[in-house]
Amino acid sequence: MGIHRFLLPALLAGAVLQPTGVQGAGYGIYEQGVAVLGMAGAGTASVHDPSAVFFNPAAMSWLSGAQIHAGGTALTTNTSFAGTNPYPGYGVTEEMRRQTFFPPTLYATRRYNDRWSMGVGINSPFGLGVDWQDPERFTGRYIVTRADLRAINGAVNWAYRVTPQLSLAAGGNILFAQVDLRRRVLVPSPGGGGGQVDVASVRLHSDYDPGYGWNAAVSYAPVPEWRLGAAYRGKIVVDTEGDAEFTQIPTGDPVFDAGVAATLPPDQGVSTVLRFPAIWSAGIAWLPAGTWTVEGAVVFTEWSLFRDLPLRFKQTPANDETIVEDYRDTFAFRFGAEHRLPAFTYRFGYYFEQAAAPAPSVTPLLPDAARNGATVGLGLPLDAGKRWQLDLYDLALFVDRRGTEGRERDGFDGEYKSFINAFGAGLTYRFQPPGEQ
Amino acid sequence: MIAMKTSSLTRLVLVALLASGCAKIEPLSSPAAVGGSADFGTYVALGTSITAGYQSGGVANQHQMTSYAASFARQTGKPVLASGTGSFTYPAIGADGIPPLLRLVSLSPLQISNAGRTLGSPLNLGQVGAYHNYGVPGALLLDLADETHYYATVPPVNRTTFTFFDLIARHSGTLLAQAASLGPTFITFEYGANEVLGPATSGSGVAALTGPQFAALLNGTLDALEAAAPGVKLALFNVPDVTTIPFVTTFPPVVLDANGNPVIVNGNPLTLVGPGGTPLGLGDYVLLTAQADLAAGNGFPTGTFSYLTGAAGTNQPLTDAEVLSAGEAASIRSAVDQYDAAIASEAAARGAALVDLRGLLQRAATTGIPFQGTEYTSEFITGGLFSLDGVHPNDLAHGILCNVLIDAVNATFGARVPHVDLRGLATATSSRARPAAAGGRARPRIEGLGDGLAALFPWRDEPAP
Repeated sequence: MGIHRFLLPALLAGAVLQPTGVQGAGYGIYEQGVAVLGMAGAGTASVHDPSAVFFNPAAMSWLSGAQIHAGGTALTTNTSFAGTNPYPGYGVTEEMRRQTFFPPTLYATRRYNDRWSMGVGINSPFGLGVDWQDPERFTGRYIVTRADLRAINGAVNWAYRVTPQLSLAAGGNILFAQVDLRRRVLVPSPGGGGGQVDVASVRLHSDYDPGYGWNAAVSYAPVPEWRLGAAYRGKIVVDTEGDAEFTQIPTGDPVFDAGVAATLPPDQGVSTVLRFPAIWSAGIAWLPAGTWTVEGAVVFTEWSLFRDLPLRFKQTPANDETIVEDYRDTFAFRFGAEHRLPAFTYRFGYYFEQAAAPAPSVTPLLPDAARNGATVGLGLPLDAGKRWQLDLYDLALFVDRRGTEGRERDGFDGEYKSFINAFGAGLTYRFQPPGEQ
Repeated sequence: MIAMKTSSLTRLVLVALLASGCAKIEPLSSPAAVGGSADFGTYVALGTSITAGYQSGGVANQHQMTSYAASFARQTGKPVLASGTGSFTYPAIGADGIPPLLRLVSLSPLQISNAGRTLGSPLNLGQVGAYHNYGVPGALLLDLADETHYYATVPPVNRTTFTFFDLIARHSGTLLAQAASLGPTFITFEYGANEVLGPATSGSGVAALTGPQFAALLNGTLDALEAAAPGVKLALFNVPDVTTIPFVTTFPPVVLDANGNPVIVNGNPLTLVGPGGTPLGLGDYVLLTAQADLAAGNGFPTGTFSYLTGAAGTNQPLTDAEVLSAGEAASIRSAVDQYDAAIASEAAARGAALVDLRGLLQRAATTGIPFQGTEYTSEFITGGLFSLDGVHPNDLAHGILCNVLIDAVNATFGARVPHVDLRGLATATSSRARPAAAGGRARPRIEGLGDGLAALFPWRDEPAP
């Protein structure tokens, strides 16, 4: 029991940390359940813990009694950049600060009777964290020096068991999102040489504002060896407002600085629209011999929703800006297996996900690229009655090296290289032992 | 049990991390140029002051080395040396240039001067054989195949004093013959600007050549060039609208109040006093050469004040040479249109790349050219593209122009020439001088600009017929 007392507070502490990170294509974070992630996220058909609230709410019908799950992932990102001509030039390299993010997950499900189940969840299915080293010299500082997108999602779903083999589910999401962008303003220096001087730093910081969406899912278990699942999570659009702060950076030339001060916008309100795409998923799972689960799942994300990031200034509309993104819808193909032994369960998996950003949108704000992920996972019952279960996983995410093909929208061309590691832990408690209904 | 499993998991994680090559990305290096159907083996640049790398009122090797021509040579694999020697040779001129380059002495009052700088010396005047860069400041298309006017006081050019031909053509035959002696495989060709720039900067609307004259001369010159260098591939630059350069657009033709807003009389902006005492029109241009008169209050009606110095208006008219009227500007633009039609037609007929210098300058004058998140414009001093003489592009603009050239060459010949690194060309000042301590009212004083213009546009005193 000592381990429980140690772990639970840690996990709860993780749940209140502000989630951020960048993990899936675009700014998606599919790392929303430790057991499913041990199988590389292939869980739409086979999920069998409270993370069904996210992966497939209809699968809640197959869960016994009431269950609660708290978990989280530590995402460590490592991104670097090498420049090409014309800007910032061959030979230039840049690096992001290595960061670790903690997107939390908290789920609870309850089966009321043979027909109805309900589940609630809090997680962070989207997020972005960018922090370039040496921001005062970073060659892309006119685009971004630091950016954080934080999103906390609350979900409630109901599942209805139509037949002993078929379950349908529906529910809603409320997602609170906030964005924080920082960059520098540079202007040509007055010497006529075309060089630039930093004259201001800009910070756009929004409040947490809500957006709403809905879920639908189906789970079908025609025979004990096979299970099929499909889930839909609707898009969410968040209109958010916040503050824009413009801080002048003195150059040392009072006349020039006075000129800059005269043109620098005042601190003011700013609004933007944050778009979180719809996610479709479908999976088929094979459960031979009662101890193995093998699943293949396809996840389709409607990234084309992310066409731009509009910035609207309250007092100086002349500064309004629309950061064009023109993302494309993506497919991810996820494969995973789970082997349940009497003493423990182990899992492994692999997935491939397409890039959402076209080459012109591969920017220091979000250097998106296709990726291959390999995962391993472990499930450990912590007590004889198997009410407590600890799950662990690790994901090594090999992000493809991605170039801008000389077409980056703000003229910042080169290649990005990223590696991400995700380590997650989750604790599940079943109010009734497995087997009891 | 738990400990054992955790440790094997850790080992797996470590293996995965090691296998990932999660180390920082290695710097990339520029790929070598691929010529496609063009051969960059011997590259020769022909043209005017732009090709020569003339900036801030003079020629100096620090900017000759960053001219679009030098950059193109570099991007096609030829080292460009400060001595002017190597596989892309040019008539290198040492510090502080010929004439000595202008520098920004102070931002406020705005003072640009070459006072205190020393006249530079040629570094490889004795080079045996031809140069690869035959950009000659002040050169007309006529000069390429005709040396009549290089050194002599012969109309229509009336080069009465020193000319750059002394340093570049070196009494060794026509530029065309000298260029051909190298056996060029690739030539960039940039002519036509001086035919309109000379008149425009001296307040005249009469281009050196009419459109048909230019077209005929261009056709004949290109025929001669292709005959002298069989099989050569060409890139032809068109001619920019010279009425959009800072030299022409910086001074407004209207009286301004203390806040910089036009003074309104009877509902209309009050304009300066033009040649013959006639009020200027809103479409007229006051040239940078008028700065001394404007500073003294000349051109400002009685009762108003100079927007440069606050001096009381003298009601003395500006001279004809200080003003490019709207009508003159329209004539110049019309000539540019006709020149560019001829250039485009020759490029198409000869399978040459067409380099849209005009489009580039047009973007600078209208939408701006984005670089590092800022729009670079044709504004004098603050725009970031023009050097301190208000006429010639700075290093960064040369780099941008070279990339336009590269794009045109790549598209026309199926070549793959890598772009120029612009970051290295964006410098704090265009002639390596820090602004002095600032204070007081902005007051442009451009000393030494006249020397440079006299060398460039010798017909200023005796206009071409």
